[in-house]
Amino acid sequence: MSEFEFLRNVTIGQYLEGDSVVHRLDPRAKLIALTALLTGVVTTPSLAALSATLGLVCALVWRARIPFRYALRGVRAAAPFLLFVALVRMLTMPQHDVGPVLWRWWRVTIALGDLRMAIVTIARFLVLILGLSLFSFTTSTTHVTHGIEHLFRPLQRVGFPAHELSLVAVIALRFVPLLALEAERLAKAQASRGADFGRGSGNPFTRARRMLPLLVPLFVTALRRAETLAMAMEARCYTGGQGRTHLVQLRARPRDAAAALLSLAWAGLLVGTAWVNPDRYLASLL
Amino acid sequence: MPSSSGVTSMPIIEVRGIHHTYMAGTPLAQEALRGVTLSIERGEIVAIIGSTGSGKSTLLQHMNGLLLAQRGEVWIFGQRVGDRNTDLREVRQRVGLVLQRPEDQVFEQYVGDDVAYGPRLGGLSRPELRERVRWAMEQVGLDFEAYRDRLTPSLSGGERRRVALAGVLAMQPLVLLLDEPTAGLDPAAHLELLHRLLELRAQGITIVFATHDMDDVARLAGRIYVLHEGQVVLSGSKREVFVHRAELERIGLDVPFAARLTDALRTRGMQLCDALTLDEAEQAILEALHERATA
Repeated sequence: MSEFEFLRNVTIGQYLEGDSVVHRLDPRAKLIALTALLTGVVTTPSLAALSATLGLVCALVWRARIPFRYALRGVRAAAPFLLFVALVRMLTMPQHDVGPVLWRWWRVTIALGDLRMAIVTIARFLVLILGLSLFSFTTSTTHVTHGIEHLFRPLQRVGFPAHELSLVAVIALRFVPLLALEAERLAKAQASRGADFGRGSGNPFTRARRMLPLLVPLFVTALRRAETLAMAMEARCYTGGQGRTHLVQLRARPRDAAAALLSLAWAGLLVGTAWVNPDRYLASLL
Repeated sequence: MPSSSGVTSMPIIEVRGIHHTYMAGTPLAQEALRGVTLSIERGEIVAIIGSTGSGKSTLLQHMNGLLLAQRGEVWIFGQRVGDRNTDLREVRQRVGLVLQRPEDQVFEQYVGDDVAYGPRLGGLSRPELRERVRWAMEQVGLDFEAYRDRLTPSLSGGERRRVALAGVLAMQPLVLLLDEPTAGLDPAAHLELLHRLLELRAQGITIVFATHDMDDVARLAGRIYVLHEGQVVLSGSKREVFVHRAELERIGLDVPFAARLTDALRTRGMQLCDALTLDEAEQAILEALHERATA
């Protein structure tokens, strides 16, 4: 409806309070599952495996009681980008030798293999976006921080900055909606003074061009905000992770371990499809 | 003291039963306006008061076509906002909006460029543009020669706020909407802004401002709309509205200091007439004392 509600389309990084099984899962288990699934998804060339994973993520979205229309919003915002990536992929990494040629025009040839590649690329991004959104919908920022910190804690002995890293991740996540709000304010200020905002949608290119004058002031405010944040942290004697105790105490239950192991197994299968592609057997069955 | 008398009876802005929900269709949906109706007439100063989150900002943004009503209608200068043939750019030029914390909305690098942003998009020639910027900066008390090449980040908050106001005035709007214009100003800058607004009204500009400073309302406004949880709960002249002290306090608002003062004196047995500004209170107290002396 309104062109100014940038936040409405930024669904990644938004936490939706809830009390579902997915919400209550230990953040460490969720982080492991997320990393494992994402690794699996980017390695597998199999459409069947990707569809199955997409189904799994959708089932989890349903279990978490996240409205599908809301979950799909992030996908919708990324749709032009997805199509572009698929197109580039099709044209720059041709697989003309796979399957019959479907379409030929000038120097462009599209074979069944190319089309399959495009669909695989889109499916991959779908799972990535939905998976990441599901994680952020069901995990509060506090839990994300503690999860990351705990997972990297073993590495701290060799000088790995686990606490600092988790802090950086959390601040980055927190800044996404803040930047969206800031962009909204700037767009409104410019529109009030004659800029061409909020007058119908226009094509993606004119829309993108309209965003350009927002970028520089947006960076300026982001930097200013970061400076204020740093000052506020210093004012409260922030010294990093050393000797700090925590309000949130993570306690893993058997079901958290099971979830992490299951997702690791699933990811293992996904990676395995790089060698043994089930699509071929499925095709021969049909 | 400005009042709503001498106003022609043709509303220039009419808001009819508008509803607005932020993040509509998401689990985070938030209802901001629930059926607001009001009208603004030419040449008046109208205050929209309400506690934080009552929908003031959302309402103001509907009145210059930044937000489009999800339900209900907004008519501005006889044109319905959201109609195909209503030019939103024209609407926003006629109805200038100074958003909350205007100092954060200065986005150009140089003061002169920022003030020129609106009229330049409006297609003015260079000499015209220069004159317009000079005029707008003078309206807010910024010296053109001294300030036009100053870097905006180097200005103080108060100066940046003036630049933002100049940027809106440079569009030569007929109506000026201000969202909490005096919040966070020091007393001198506060007073000066009030005087500027009165001057602008004297030039024929209609002013609508949202605030929770009741003393500003008493000093400036002719009429008041009280917003609570997205609905108009009280409206009328300031005398009509400030009579409802208990009601206002219940929704987290207040009455002007002078009204509280005269109330307090009355409970101590002084016979006083109503007062909303300090000048009126002084007058009322002097009269009461005079009467007591002659009695």
